[in-house]
Amino acid sequence: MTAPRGGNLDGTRVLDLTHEPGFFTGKLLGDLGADVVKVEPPGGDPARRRPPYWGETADPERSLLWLAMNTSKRGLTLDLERPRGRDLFLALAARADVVLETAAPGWMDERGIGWRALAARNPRLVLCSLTPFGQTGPYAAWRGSDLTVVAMSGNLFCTGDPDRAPVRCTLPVAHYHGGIEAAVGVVFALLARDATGRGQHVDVAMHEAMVMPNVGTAAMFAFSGFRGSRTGAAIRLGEGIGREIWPCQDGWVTFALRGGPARVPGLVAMVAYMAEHGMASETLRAMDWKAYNHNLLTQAQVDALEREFGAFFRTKTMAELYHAACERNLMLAPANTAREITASAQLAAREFFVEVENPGRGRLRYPGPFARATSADPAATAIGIRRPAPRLGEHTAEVLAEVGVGEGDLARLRADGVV
Amino acid sequence: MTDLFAGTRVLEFGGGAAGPVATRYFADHGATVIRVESRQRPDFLRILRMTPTTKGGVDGSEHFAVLNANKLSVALDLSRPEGVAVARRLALWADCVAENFAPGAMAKWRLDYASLVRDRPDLVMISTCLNGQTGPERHYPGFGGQGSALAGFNHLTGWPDREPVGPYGTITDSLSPRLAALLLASALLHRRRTGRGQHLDLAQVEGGIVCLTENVVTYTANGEILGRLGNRSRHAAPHGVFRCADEGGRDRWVAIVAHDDRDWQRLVEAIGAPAWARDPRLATTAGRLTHVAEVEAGLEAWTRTRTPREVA
Repeated sequence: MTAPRGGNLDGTRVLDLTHEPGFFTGKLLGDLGADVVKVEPPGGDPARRRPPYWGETADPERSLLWLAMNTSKRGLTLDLERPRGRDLFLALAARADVVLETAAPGWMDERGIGWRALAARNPRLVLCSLTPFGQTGPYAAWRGSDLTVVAMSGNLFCTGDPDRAPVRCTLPVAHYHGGIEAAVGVVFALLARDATGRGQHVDVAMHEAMVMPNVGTAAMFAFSGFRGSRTGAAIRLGEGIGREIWPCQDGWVTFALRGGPARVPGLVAMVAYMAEHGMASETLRAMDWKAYNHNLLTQAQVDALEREFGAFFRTKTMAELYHAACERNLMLAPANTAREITASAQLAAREFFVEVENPGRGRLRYPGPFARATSADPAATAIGIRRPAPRLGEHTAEVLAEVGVGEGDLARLRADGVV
Repeated sequence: MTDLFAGTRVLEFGGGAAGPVATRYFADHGATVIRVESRQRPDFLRILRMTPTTKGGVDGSEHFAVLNANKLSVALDLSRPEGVAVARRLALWADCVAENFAPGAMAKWRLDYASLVRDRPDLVMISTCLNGQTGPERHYPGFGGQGSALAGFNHLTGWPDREPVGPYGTITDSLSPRLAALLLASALLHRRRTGRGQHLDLAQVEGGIVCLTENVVTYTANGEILGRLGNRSRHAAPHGVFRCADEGGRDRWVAIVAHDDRDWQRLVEAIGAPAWARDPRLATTAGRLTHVAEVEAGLEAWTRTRTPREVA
């Protein structure tokens, strides 16, 4: 991998104190060119001790969660429970642009390294706190996690099957939503600082970030009192519900029986595809799709359509159906696993995956840039992974040297367990 | 709301959620955001649930209203050269342009970055569609439902013994606008500092896959395909959603997570320390993971007779 340099956030110094819920924020800022330094306790972040491990060997340098979410960062150890550790942190923060943290509200203040202390030393600093419920309000002191904030947001209630409990995504979507929201807040605050000269404390609640994905339902509730419902692999269609996720030969595909100008051509093309295989009835071939309005269907009509489409999908694989979708403009997509994702011709053509060299452990294939930039000076705007996730304390000496800690001081700090 | 972007002009082409939610971040902070819309082909959120009796017609969609608050709208017919000429003047007058059409649509009107940048060298523009502006599958049509499936979210959401369901709210439609807002803001910062513009290509599927980096590296490192675990976790137990007493004839539920043994101790006390919960086999995370069904059944027996308020 030739790591990109420069970037829109080139020259921005970020200290990343976060635990798992906030890892993604620093990764994104790093992918945009910021110099992100992960600050861990000397024993390492708890995520390093969480399986699965690369190669199944329990090793803090092989936790896949850690390796996945901390690319584009340097790494430093510092014990913030000790006065000397806090002094060094304050010295680093005095010359930083951004501090990211996910501690319980009040934790930073109790240690004399909260917003007031940081702003007093560096009025240009942006502090971004990402927590389950925010810095204020009756829930601020509550502990929370992906599952509980997704539940509180209303999103969970609408996810899953009608006959079972609401269900979450197995990976923590609240961390992704909250993590990106925090990154947006940081860059907005940097824009404001460039205009006013003053930093600010950005307070991001994962709970609030998770309300946005169901904003349509929140709006509907205000208008109609409808609180959403779980329909499993289906959505509301007219007076009934219709399937959106269908079994095929080797997995599952999504396909909607919804109309509207954007979707009708896809329905017409799908029926033509089925007809080529002798699997479209006369009734289906005679449908007037221009007049089709899914909001007016009865359940019996939905069921009749489903029988024909469903029977056809069962004769095809995910890859066959997706290939046809690309060729024929069908709005159909396979429910991809990591296997299909890493085998994608589209992603290969865009050189999306990158090999990241992890010293002592080997090369590991990663999803690369979350977006592409084109500009007169591509190096100055490049997006993507800059460096592998740091090994524990990998850059302690180099980062502390930037605030004047020499070799002798460092040896003492190590002996005292401060770093 | 702040006036951070007062005086900043954003011109928006397209519709649905992924583009409009991104520009709302700027509208909410004082930018003048102008949507270019078509009367011939209204934004699909304007007509998603429209029937002949919908009050307000194309202006009656609450879903559209929520995503597009604080914006202005100009209706132009881009099938006519006069309409395209007006759109071009607006694009050159704007500080940034956002679009989420299918790739190629903007070029057809000569409103793409390559055409506009000749007359506006510092233009900041973002294009976002499912698969990106390049590659053999760039023309693949779709909305968030397809994006979620392609990026891997559907496969990871639901019960292990049933079909995938996908997180509610077509998740790439809500992750992508956040990424788009981040990209636009970082490009504006870069322009403020260097005077230079850029074109950003956000493929919503790629953005979703980057969020799910753990899903990919678990496979590329160990060959393991992550699957649906319901609400369970491989690292904590209990980690689930439990049925409470119904309220007003409606099902109610509560999410309960014990991340470690201290959490579990507190939970045991909170439910009155029944004998089953004091079983030493359940005192450690490893033990609770082994006997997770027992833990879940015990908890649900307790929650089932209580309202969520009583439980929480």
